[in-house]
Amino acid sequence: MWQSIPARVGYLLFLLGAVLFLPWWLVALLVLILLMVVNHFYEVVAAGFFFDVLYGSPQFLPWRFPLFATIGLLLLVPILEKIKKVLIFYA
Amino acid sequence: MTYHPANRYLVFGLLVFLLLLGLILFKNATNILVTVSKPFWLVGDYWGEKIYTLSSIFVSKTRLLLENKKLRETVAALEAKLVNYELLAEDLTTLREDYGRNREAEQPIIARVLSNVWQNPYDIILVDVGWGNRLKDFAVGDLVRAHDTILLGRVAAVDKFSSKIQLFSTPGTEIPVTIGREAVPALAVGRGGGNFNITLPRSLDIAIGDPVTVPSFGVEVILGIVGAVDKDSSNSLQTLYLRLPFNLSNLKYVAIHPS
Repeated sequence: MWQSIPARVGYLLFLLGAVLFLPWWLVALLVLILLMVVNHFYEVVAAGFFFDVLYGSPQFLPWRFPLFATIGLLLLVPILEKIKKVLIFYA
Repeated sequence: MTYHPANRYLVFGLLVFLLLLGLILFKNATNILVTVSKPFWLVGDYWGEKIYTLSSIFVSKTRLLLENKKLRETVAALEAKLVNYELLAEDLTTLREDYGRNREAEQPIIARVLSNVWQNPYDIILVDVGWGNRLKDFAVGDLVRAHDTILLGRVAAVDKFSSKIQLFSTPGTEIPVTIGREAVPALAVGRGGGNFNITLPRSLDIAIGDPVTVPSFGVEVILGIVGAVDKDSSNSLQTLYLRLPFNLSNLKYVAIHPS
């Protein structure tokens, strides 16, 4: 149920709404939780792109790169997938 | 249902493609996404206020009466101060005009805040005025103020129907200021969210509530007030923590001053 396509679309829409209305640190926390719960949650990169386009400022971002969250999430997803494989979850 | 590895790579490839497309269309993407998001922000703002009003039902009457009394006292004290302030402001304007220094060259552009500083870690405020709906020209680098005299930051990017304001409190940003009536010169360093740090010799007498002004932009504007002073007897320096004289989270409008 957690991994079904409608559920995944729901998570993405929820994240996009969170980007619009919630504090950034809460959005970051939600992203981490969803990345742990949902397998191969590459759709989160779209939320990162949404965040970068809305709020990114090339004058401040690290190394003046405008898509910091997008690229960061694109790298974070496979890294977390590797970590999840060596972790044991007790439900 | 989990993704089949082949599907997974397909999704991944598609995302990379979208990313590249986004990079190419980055300017337009901002316009499109802001246009799509704007109604949500405005509706969210409206319902936020409604919910806040509804929550007051659950506040006790005694507490409300006490708060009301306290606020009336504050208003009376502020009104008395305001009379003095208006007289002094008039004197100051006359003096500046006599010495050939007009306070403002141009009227500012008033812009509504769409997204506030707590929604991103970059100290950016998104406002609803861009090159497509402006009343007069403004550009990247123009100063942005709130409540007439409080300096916030500069315009960082101008899109079609929105602009990004980069606050001076962005971590690491340095701005020369003067503190208090004696105009002690110092360098304020941004700490994010409208907060600043200043390091000064411990012997200087700075009080909490002293205004911190920025004299370098032609007109005298306030950067903040001293919110706390950290003095340690073992240290020859003291650290001042500046804050804005209003709550940045409740900011609704800003004024863009075209240079």
